Amino acid sequence: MPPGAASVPSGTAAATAVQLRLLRQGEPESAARVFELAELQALGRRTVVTRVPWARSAPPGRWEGVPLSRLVAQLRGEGHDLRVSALNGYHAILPWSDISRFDPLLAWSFEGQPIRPRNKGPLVLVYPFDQHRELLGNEVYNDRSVWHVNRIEIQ
Amino acid sequence: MSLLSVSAPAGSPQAWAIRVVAAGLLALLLTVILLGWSSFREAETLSVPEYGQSPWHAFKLRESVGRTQAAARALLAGRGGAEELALQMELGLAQVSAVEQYLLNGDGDSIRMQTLLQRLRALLDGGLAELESASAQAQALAERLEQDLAALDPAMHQLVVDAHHHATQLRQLTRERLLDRLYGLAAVMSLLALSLVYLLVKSLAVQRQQHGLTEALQAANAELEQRVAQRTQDIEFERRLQADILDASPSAIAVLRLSDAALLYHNEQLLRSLDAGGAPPVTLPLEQLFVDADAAQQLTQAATGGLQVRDLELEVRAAHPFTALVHAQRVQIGREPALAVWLHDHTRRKQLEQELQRLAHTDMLTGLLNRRALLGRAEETLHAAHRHHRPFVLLLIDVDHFKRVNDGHGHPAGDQVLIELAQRMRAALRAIDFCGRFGGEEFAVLMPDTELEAAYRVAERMRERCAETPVLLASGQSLSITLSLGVAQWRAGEGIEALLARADAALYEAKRTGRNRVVQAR
Repeated sequence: MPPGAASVPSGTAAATAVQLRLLRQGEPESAARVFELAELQALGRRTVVTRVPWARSAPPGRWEGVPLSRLVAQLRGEGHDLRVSALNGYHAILPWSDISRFDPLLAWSFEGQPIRPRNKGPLVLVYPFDQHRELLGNEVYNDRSVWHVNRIEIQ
Repeated sequence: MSLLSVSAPAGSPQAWAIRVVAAGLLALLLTVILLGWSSFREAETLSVPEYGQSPWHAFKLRESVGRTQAAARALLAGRGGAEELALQMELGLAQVSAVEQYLLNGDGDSIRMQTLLQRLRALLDGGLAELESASAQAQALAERLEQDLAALDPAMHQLVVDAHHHATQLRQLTRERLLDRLYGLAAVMSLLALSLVYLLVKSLAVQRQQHGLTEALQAANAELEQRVAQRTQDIEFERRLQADILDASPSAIAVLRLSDAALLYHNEQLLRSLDAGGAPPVTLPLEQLFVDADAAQQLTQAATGGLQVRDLELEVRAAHPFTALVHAQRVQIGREPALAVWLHDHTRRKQLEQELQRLAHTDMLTGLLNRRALLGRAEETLHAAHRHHRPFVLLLIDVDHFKRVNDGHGHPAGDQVLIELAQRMRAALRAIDFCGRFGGEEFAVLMPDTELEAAYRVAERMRERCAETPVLLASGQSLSITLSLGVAQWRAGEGIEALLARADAALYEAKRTGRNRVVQAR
């Protein structure tokens, strides 16, 4: 149980719980590795300060999370594309070139606070938009910025 | 640039055109800058990628609402828990925010959508709050939520349709603004292209004008060159004409530099006269050219002093020496004083003169001296005899009955007789004697240093020989000819006329006394 969720009553505890399933495509579901917040944080924490396309008028915010490259390294999946899926059934394919060029963040906190599902949490895929100008005006990266991430398949 | 740099007087139509074009270009430039700036701003706006996403998010919201209803029904059926329902409600709230993000304010679609979204947010928010505070009431909540959401289903459908219309409107607006920009840019580009064409045409015209000027200049040059060539040709023609004339001159011509006698010019005749054998001499000092070196020096001095030397007769040293009439005159060749010398070969004239003189003294028929020459000799002989006290004798000879020869045999026969007689006389005389035809059939002989007796013997012998030997004519006939002779010895103090008269008298005596005889004058 994450510390930020301690005050949340048991009825909605699952709603804010961080859980990520990581696996290779074609493997049985039982082979998937499941990461909770502490385990993700153990992989490596990085902070990126940037605006995001779904809140362009807002000032840049401080996002904290694990770089996708660290997750991919867990399964030695370098060079492969990623299929990133969400709790609401949405998914997007991230080409390997995105990871090698931009190394997006799988963020679990915004401005030091956990991200509630109503705010596109608990895990949000954040590209470093302000660090790479070409990202912010491009709808493709908006589509690849998956909210409510709960599953990553290495293809 | 080339257009603006063309200088034209202010106020002329060309200057006006230039000002108008410059102003137009300036306006065009400003328009381009403004349009470029606003297009850049527009591009920033258009680069916001979410304009077209509202239908997609509306669709996802409807899905999310459906999943929430399903979670509620599962809970009522005892198949699902409150946690799943809470999660779906949270996700629904996230989707509500996503749709709100893309709504424009003010229009009817937006207001209707806004109302629905607020209702949904209230339902989900309220439900979540209820679940957190009293999870035991989850059953009741699920039932109520399921009913409320089901009631909203037609509105949810309307939301998707509205979002679609909303996005279409946004797209249309964007397209129109883009088209406006494109049309503006196209117009400006066309104007720029037109200006470019105008500038090109104008600079071409200037270039053609320059080309025309260049051609005119070239034509003028060519004409000038042609005239120079013509002039050169004329000069060359004149020069050759002069050279031809000088070469054709019978006189030898030489132009010598005064300082060193270098041969500056010569004509063909000079080479012929000097027999120089082709190559002309480099120098031609007059002291070497003429046999008389003193005369040559005087000639040079006179000519140098500016005098014209004319008709000076000098002997020329050459392979075949000759006498020349020399003209000389000082001339100027460039800056150098020079001497022009004409040599006219005089030898031939001399010969002619001598021939003329001979002819003047000779009887044409017989080749003997004529009367005048014989009288001249007589005068000379008389003077010599007078000076040296020497005797001399005059014989007058006449052919007897010569008229009969002419009348009987014709004048050619008479001439033949005279020629024959003249030969016989010359053969009978000494070298120092002079024999001449005095006219008609009369001859005269001068015998210097001769006494009367000796002369008489010579005369008698001539008479005898003539009488003995007939003259053979060309016709084959022979004629017997006799001579009558009068012999007179000069007496000291006597003139030629007197001597002639006495000899004539003696001849008359011989005729009178029967002819074919010699009579001594008294």
